[in-house]
Amino acid sequence: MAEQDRPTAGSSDAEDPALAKLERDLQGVRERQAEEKAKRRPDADPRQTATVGKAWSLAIEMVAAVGVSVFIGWWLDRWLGTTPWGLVGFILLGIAAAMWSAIRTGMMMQRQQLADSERGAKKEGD
Amino acid sequence: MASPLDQFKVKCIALCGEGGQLQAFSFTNASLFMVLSVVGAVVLMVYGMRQRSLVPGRLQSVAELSYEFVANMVRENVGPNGRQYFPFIFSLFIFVLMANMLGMVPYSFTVTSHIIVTFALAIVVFLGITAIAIVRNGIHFFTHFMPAGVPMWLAPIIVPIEIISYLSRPISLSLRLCANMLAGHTTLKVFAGFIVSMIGMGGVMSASGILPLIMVTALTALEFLIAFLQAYVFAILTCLYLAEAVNMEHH
Repeated sequence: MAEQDRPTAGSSDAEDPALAKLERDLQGVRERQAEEKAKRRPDADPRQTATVGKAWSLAIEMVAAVGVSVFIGWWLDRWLGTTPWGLVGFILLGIAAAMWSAIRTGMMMQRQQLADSERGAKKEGD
Repeated sequence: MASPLDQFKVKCIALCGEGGQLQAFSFTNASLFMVLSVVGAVVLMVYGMRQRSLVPGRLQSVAELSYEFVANMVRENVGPNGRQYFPFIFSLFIFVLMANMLGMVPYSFTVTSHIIVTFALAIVVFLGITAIAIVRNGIHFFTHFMPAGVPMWLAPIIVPIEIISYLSRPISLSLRLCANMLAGHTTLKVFAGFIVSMIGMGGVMSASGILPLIMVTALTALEFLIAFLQAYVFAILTCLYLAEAVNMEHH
């Protein structure tokens, strides 16, 4: 039996016990890495930090839109003496603008992410 | 103990009024660090590239990498029309990066943590890009506020919304950079203050001072990342706005 296990000259690589052992070891390392990756908290990943930055920039965009429209409304009211209607109208418009720009930015981020993951999948397939 | 916000205090260095009072044209620590950022950028570029060797040294590598980085950014986001605006984007990126990085040196001053500085940068970008858009597209520029394919009856709502979101760009651009630097540096100082007070608890409890020390070390690394990331974000958003201005489609 033992003689059958021993590789003969000219046998294919797949039958080489040393290579088979290496393959088994590598498989073990891969599994361990995947386990560790799954265990790691998502915010420890540097790429996740960038995602937090994106979320921040969405929030700042919304605040900025409302801030700008409040300023315009207040200024128009002072100029035209229409207190408080300019402010009220522009706050509503500002909230709409904030929502709209947040949705647009979110859609853009999603497109980018999709394109990135497609590229990644392609690379792995090569 | 000093307040965590003391690091953001603008102090007069030269051309002061009576008793170190700030005047309109005083040379302050903010001015000093802006000058240092510019000097740093010039030294990196001019001194770093002085040998122009085929196999770059350390400084030349940094200069070449930063050039390549921004050149790729402009190429990918703006396209061939953006080539002529590369010097502007590059200066902007290097200035913000240098200011952020100099702010990481202990006892230094972070220029970009002041909203007026980032707002000045953002308003220059905003006005410049608006001017470029109007010069390149003429009256067609104003179709930006009325996207194609929107029914006419929506115009009274869509147009003000688009104008507001356009006008809010310099605010969000400056606020993002300023808020990030301000928050990060304040957090660092607050945690550093914890070290002192925890060591001061006396006895065995003093040993717990190691905990905020670990935290500060980790936060410092994170701050370096943010310092780079925010300079990058500032430059890439400028690129995106510029792309809209130069690649406006004519219908």
